[in-house]
Amino acid sequence: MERNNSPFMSGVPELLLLRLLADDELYGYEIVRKIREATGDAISLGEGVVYPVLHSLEAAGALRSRRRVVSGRERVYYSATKSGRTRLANLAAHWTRINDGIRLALAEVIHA
Amino acid sequence: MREPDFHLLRERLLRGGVAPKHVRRTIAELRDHHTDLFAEAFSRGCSVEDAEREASIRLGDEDSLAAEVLARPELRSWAHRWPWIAYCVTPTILLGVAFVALLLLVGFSHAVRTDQGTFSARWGSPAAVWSVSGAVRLFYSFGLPVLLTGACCFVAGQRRVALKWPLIGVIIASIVGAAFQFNVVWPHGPEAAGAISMRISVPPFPGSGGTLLRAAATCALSLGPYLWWRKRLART
Repeated sequence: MERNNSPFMSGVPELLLLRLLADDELYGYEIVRKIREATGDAISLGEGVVYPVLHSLEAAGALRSRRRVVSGRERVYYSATKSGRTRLANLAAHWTRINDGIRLALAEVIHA
Repeated sequence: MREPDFHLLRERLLRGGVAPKHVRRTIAELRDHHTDLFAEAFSRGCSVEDAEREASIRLGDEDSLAAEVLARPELRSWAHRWPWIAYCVTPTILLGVAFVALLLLVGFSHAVRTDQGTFSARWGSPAAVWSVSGAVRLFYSFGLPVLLTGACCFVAGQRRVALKWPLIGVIIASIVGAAFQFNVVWPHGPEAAGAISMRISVPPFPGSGGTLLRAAATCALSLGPYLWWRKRLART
């Protein structure tokens, strides 16, 4: 499992976080675990990297956070706002276009 | 379990201009995350040392964590973006605002007393009146500048700002605070007239010696502890 924080991955953490938090209210550790599960270990972030992305998205109004005490530990739970869901839809459309383009390019290589 | 030391990361983020609230929160969340990673590794059968090592590796090293936070300008504080406004202009503006507020407060309280005609019952002897006048004057000429420049140094210290900004801000606010002299003469009875006066004494006009002395005292009182604290921080 390789850690991937290359510039090409720019925007991917944001997309994945918004996707996960659109359905669920999660805290940092859970988020990273779910990203690993959801991407079949193909994408693994340096785990601490998730927090600046979460804070940025919250500052932009795409996420909201609240503190909850669970099993005696206080955690910060995040969930997507309405504006976050809109942002997710735009990002998803963007990445789908890129994905389609790459698939086309690879198909030519494979059939060559 | 030994917790990782986030002291250096905290210092790097603060020096990089990240808002203290984001720094506090990031460190707290990283600490919690490390605890979860440790628990996960330990429950898989790792020894304490191995679980600690794995948790630290998975969390990310100080360089990558700092780089990721510092790459996000939206997490920087406004004081980092405009330090001259935060540390040089704001304290002086606040002095002006406090002056207007004090003026309104004095005027308002006098009006209330006069209307109710209860001055003597409330304030009693002229000595008490003199002490109120003296307290107001002392507070505006000395207490308020020290309070504001002290707050300026405190905020600058919290954000690990370059020394020049609070230094310039404190000097300006100290001079302005000392130059404006606010005086209240409370009426010695319901029928007597009171007075509110203000004068500006700057060099080379008479009274400017006192201004410079007050400004120097304000600077010493606020910058002294701040410089001592900076020196102490640099050693750690």
